[in-house]
Amino acid sequence: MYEPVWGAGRALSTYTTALAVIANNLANISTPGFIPHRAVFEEMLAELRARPPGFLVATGSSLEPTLRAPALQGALVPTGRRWDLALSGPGYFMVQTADGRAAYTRAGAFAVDAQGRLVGPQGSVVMGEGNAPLDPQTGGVPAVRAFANPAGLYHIGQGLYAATEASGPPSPAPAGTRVLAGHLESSTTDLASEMAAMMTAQRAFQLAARGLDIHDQMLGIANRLRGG
Amino acid sequence: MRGVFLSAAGLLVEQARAATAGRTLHNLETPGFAAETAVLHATWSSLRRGDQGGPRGLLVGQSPGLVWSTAALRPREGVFRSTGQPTDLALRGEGFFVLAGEEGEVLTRNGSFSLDNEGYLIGAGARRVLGADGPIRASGGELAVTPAGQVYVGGTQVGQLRLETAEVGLAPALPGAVYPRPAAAAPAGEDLRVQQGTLEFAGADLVGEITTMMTALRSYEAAQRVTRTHDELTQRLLEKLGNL
Repeated sequence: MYEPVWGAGRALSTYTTALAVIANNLANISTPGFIPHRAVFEEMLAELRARPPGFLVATGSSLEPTLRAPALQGALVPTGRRWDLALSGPGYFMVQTADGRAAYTRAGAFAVDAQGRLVGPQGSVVMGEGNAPLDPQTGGVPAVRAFANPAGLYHIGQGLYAATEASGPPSPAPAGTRVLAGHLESSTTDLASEMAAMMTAQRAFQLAARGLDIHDQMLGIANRLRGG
Repeated sequence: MRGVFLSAAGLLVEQARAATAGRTLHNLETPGFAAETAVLHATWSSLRRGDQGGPRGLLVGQSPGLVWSTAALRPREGVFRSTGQPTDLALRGEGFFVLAGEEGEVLTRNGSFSLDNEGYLIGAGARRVLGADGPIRASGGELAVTPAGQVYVGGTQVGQLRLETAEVGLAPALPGAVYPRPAAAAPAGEDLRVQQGTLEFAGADLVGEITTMMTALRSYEAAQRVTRTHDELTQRLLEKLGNL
């Protein structure tokens, strides 16, 4: 019917998503190895219609959030625990999830489980170089992989990421990346910028709500064109 | 009856004004979004003086007397916001980035870039960002972009951004705030600088847009009243004629 009402509605739902993303980033401000997501807005569609001949009327545009998790280096905090591993430089530890698939994480708070395996988030097994699980008894080098586009990784949950078509296939980590034992990488959530983003999203939400209200009033006026 | 159509045209125009202002408000957080304005045109050509056949001094409307078109308020600088993301680039000064799309080369000021699965720098619609020697591969190390547009990865120069100036006129932007590249596009001058870790937003005049929406609402209401008055007058006229 009247397109701008839907446009305002979509803007409202978009800013709701943005606020949820910010809330998640803030909640994980102390989670080791956490990579904050960003909601990046894009115009959804700008349908160009010829209304009176010769004039173009753009309608039906709103925004669409896409989630990006660019890899930033978090501060390395010494913990003294033997199996706390942190990465300095780009890359991810390679782990194997319970269903046998490869996943990648920067959350290096590993531990030895009852079966003597080195495990990470969600009970995933930490892999060593040579595509075999890392044996905590004999030691070894944890497998570290990098991606052409880390922001394209799919977040499985609890700091685990899976390779996607957008991220590209895993490749050996660049030479500059080092593994530090006895350290954890702190969350890369930036409190100040998240708070600023939250305030802007809130105000943008209010403005969209105001826009929706005005368009709704116009619909009401149109309905009263005859009688009333 | 002419009056009904004229005031109905007023309704449509005010609706378009509110919709255009609303579009800008809803895209406050869309990088590179080009704010638009509804331009009103009175169709004078369709209004004839009465001395061309009708009663003297009267305007005879052949069609509704107002149409509108939407025009992008470009090029102009928006507001700049620091994001700290290395792949976010903003242009200070007039000019555009050049992207390679399926439709050919396009221009954009939307520097909300990311990487694709082969590590190339991409912009809106996954179009690759073009450098002087083709697409720029920006993966595998720390990305640094100089104000002059030289791209370094891990300290090694991998490319030079193609920056161009062009007159995109009042054409509305395609989704993602890109414009088809006109043939007359020319390399940008020294005064165009690239700022890394920053994004440009529409820089909408908030007060102006909200005021536009409110005045459009009230004008819409007024046009509705006028339409109804015309309708009532016509009804009364018909009643009188019926009594004769």
